[in-house]
Amino acid sequence: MTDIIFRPRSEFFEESELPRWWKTVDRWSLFSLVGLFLSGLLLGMAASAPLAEANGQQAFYYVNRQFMYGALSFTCILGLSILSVQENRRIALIGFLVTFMLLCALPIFGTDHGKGAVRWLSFFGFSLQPSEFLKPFFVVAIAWVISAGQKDKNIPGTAISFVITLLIVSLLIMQPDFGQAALFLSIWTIVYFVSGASYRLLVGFIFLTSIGGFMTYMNSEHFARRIDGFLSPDVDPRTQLGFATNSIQEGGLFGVGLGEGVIKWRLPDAHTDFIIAVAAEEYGVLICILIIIFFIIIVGRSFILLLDERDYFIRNCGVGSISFFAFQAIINLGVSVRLLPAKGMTLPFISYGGSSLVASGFLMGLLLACTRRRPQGNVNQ
Amino acid sequence: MENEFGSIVHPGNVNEPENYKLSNFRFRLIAILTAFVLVFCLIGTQMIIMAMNPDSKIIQTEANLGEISGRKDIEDRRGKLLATNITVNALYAHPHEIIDKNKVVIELANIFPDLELQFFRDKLMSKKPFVWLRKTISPKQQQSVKDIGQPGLYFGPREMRVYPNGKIASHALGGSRFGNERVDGAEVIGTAGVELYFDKFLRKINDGDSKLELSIDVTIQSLIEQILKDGIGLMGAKGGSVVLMESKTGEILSLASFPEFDPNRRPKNLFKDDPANSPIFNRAVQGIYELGSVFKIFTVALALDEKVVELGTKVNTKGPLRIGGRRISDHKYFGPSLTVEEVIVKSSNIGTVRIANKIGSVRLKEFYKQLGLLEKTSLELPESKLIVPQFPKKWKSLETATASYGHGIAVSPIHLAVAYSSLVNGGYKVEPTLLKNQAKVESRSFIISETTSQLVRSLLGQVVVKGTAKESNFGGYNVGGKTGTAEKPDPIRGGYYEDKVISTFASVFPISTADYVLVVTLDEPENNLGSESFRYASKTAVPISAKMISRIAPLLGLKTNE
Repeated sequence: MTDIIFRPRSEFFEESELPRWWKTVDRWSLFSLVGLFLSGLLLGMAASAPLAEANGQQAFYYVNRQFMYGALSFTCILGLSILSVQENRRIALIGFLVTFMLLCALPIFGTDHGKGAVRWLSFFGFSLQPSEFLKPFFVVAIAWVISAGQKDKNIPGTAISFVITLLIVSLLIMQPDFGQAALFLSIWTIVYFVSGASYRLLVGFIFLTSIGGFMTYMNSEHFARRIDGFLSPDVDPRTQLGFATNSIQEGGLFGVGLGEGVIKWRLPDAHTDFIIAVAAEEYGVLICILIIIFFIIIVGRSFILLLDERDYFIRNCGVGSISFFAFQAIINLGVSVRLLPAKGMTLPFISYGGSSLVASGFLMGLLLACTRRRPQGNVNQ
Repeated sequence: MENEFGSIVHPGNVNEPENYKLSNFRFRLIAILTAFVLVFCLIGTQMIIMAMNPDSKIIQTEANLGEISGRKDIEDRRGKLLATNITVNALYAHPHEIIDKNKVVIELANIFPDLELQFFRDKLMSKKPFVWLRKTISPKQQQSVKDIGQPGLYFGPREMRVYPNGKIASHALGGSRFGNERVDGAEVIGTAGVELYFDKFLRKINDGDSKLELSIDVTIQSLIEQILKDGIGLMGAKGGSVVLMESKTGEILSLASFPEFDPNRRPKNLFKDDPANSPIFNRAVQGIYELGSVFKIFTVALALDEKVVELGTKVNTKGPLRIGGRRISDHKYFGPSLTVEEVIVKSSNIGTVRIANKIGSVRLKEFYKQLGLLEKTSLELPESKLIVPQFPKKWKSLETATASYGHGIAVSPIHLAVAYSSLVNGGYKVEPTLLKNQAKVESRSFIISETTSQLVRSLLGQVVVKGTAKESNFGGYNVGGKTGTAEKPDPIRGGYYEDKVISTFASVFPISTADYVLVVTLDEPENNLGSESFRYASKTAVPISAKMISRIAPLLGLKTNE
């Protein structure tokens, strides 16, 4: 894979930023992201109508809002991916400090949106979920610290990044948000893995984490009930899971028809965590497959582009951000087909939600900055 | 270090470290990518499989009675069932599977005449994939539903809580309802009484204890409820309550409140009326009343224990007594003086106040506190956690005077039963309990001496032999007790009603050992059986208590005139 460096120099020396960006950015991923967002708007038209009705808004109120957030999100993608990786890093590290402090402030200033967990900060009529915004910044922070350790053996990069991760994980568990905590821990594990962790250490770590998970299961009734519900052989039709499975069966390949679906009226989180169930019911399973293909394209392209990367920081950062993206999608989709226990997780670029959409924009902007084609330092491998 | 391309080239990267080569990195990256893509494909495949096979029912209708359907039985002290479970069925439907919906709607309306045709039509014509039709159905109804012969109607088995004795001990038991419902079972949740208080314990069906054993004796309980109900009917009272307690352990053999209810069909809270008149209101526990002269024995017991008086000490009963601008008088003139014994036997307010003055307000209040009259009880009912006695904050001369004969202080009948038990059992404090053999007997804290306790018993005996309770027939059993007739406070005009009373008889039997304490309280009774009408406890609560004791004493193994 040495062709990149042999490309004519002119390709990296366009007069203006935008054409240069256009030539080097991963357009496959970019188009897939647009595709995901448009599918999300389409599904939102169906899924958010009951919410709009409940809140006394016109039917497409939430679709309009989603569109506004989408514009903001894609501005972030463009803005971040046009910048160089180290400019991104500078922004993200500042962002990390700010969001981390916001997360710490949650127990004091946070609001509980009626789900028994304090995850939101409200001000000036807006509410914001710091843990969503923390994701891209977290990736940069640990990628930077670990890469520092890779470059200079005297810096205990892995240990420092692990401490940061544990701090965040414990803050999330206090909320309590076991799902997000597990997600952050998994991302750290993956970055650690690609940064060259010894297999022995890694197996030991995964073993310890499993024990931790089991202890949580034994001690938390809430957590255990979800797992038990998942493990029990038959689905109770009155739970969210039951509705979701039912709706996929109801929809068949081509769906019951626009506006004909019933699940959106019955699931409180139809427009966020269970949007794929609404999609399956009204538009049929084919649109779900299309969405999955978009996800596979983005994940596949990003990994393939990262294969040639030589810079430790960009490697770690790219792998971390794409893994965040992939994990979120897999958890959300896996729950609705009952491959995973019930866990509220938004589907990136599809689920309704400003925090999620804008934060995903940050994450993807960062990813695209990492996967932009650039000259690599070593040609001899 | 930056190169001219605006990208970084780290010298360190150029020479890959020995232990981590690019090939190694690539291998790991490809491993993760493969895993991600495989999972995405797995999810996609699963979706297609589910969409292509709408008939592969994930919802099962078979019984799977798992963790949510168990609940322990509740038994009385002799092992008789108070609450148990029976298996019934719930009816639900998958409307899209039904072929002839109109036929099903009509047939169901015939089988369940208490539900409207429209109810079934709305349910079955909806687009929902799943609807509940009825929470519990009888085996006969189940057969009729099967006979409709249409697909899409299903039965979900569940354990239903039943109380085989109906209304008996309803207030102690409380009640239950269905919580989470699934097709394979339903959760039963306690809503009141011991069902709520011991909810966690009752749900843990595998912890070794197979049942909850109460101290209640259901035979005695049913007798007492019957006599209470008859008595209340005879006297036109609004309600009443009974507590029968073992004085040495605090175990409650009977806890009755009237009006009563059937826990199998627990009524909803009725908010439009005064909640204190609702059948679900537990008067023995939740009702706090000024109970009047039954308190006099506390004052006298303390005075005897402190040795400020003896039984024969003369007490000035010249009235009326003016304290803090209020007049305290007796219901009739008892002469210039009475002995301490006569103060109790004849129930003199003035005499009691003069005795209280010899003790002092600080010590009297402390004594009431020791008897548990100023605090919540530790009874194992959720209702008792909320009930705090009412009493004046500062005990000046007037408050002390009225408290000494049971006015200006309101407690529940349970509080009274605990205080009487503690006075007559030898003088140590007991805690009320609804559990069999759970009383803590090893750590006794004595409030009065054994000798004083003996004196109290004989004083209470004298009340029955020659005092306010002498007219009733206790069936040949030796009983002691103290009456109390307290005017009810008028919440609208302030002050007290002249014609509405709470009439109480706190009794102790057999008098020699005082094993049992019985507290009977009637709300607004009026005895019109003779030529005159009476509200005094001696004509209302006492005869009812007498009847109860003469009926339950044989069941407790007591002999007449020992």
